[in-house]
Amino acid sequence: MSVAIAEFIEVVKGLFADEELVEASTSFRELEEWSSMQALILIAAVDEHFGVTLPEKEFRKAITVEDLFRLTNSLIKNA
Amino acid sequence: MPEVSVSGVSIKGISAAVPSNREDNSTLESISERSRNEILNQVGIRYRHVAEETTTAADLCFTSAEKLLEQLKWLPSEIGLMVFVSQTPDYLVPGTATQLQDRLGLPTNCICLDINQGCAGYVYGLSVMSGMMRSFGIKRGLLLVGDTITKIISKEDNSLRPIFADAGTATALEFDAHSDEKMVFRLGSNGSSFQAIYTEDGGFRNLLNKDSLKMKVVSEGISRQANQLNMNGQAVFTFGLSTVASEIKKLLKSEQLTAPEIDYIVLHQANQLLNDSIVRKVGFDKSKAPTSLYNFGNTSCATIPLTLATQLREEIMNSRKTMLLSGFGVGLSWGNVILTTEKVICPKIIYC
Repeated sequence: MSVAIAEFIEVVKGLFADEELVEASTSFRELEEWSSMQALILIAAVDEHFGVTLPEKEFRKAITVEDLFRLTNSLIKNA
Repeated sequence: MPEVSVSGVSIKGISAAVPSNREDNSTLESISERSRNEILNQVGIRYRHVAEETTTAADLCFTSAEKLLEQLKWLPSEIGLMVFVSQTPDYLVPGTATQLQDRLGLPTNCICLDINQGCAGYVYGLSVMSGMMRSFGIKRGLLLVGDTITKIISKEDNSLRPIFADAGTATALEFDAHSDEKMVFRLGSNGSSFQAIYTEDGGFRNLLNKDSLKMKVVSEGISRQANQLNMNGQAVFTFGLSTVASEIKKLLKSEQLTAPEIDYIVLHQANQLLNDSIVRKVGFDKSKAPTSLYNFGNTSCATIPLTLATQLREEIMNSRKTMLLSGFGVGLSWGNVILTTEKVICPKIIYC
């Protein structure tokens, strides 16, 4: 089981009003809409759609959407 | 630790008191409009009752207990055990339960003790009360659970100030050796993450010193002293999503119960987004998960009894309900219990 990058990006896009700005290479923390609450919304959305909870310390290390995607897939693999 | 079950002890009454002084997040000027909208819409908190400087958690619990005893028509002399759960005691030494014994007029041979617990504190308190009442054969007991947590929150901390509030509650428990009622608990702790919610200075590890009282800028909009509460919201959020949800599932499985057989799931009230996510993960319909966040915010250990006394008052007073109560947070600790209540005496919330 793994998630496709396109599917992952779709979920992340859905969390931002300006979804055009969300791509694999996007540094999501630099988006104007980013906030500590947005981080919780993202963690909850990944949990809901992909069944894994991003660990806080590893989540903090993620810079791009692709980093999150890789982290999610590694968690799915080890689940 | 696996599930532990205590039979014969049941809840006979629940009451709650909050300070009459109320703050409204929708008019809190220190936070940006965007933060305000997030707190109102995602965290789900509008109003917070905040204690005056001279009001303590013990005062709020005392008021709740007095009203509850009166409505139950229980005499103070009948109380054999009283547990006070709080992180904001009246004094560092001695514990607060002894003074509450005197104030409530409980007998001097009543067992009185303090438990330092927060968000999981109500369920921990129920486990200690029921276990002691059953093993010692104590017929009637009082569980007082409350915090004035706002007293350890910086007024310049825009991340925590809009969230936390104060409340004190009282729960009356009765032991009947012939009763089949049981409470089934799953309790746990993971102390490796204790710094996720803590005050660094002011205890006996790091004594209060001049530096403790210096207001330090943590980030934009967040300044606090080292003796004030510090919380890593993301760490607590992921803990709730992973550990707490999984523990609830294990408890349901061990009791061979499914969501439709439980009338209500009452979660610690910290964040509506988190609670919605946990409720979804454990397979409950959102309508079975009452919330008191909008009106009362996060009142630390008091959130569960406060929610029972305000959101489910009619239901628990008039009918039999099987509920799953779930407290989680500071420690990090968690406590889940499945119990059944019937015709609970529940005074209207007291504003004092």
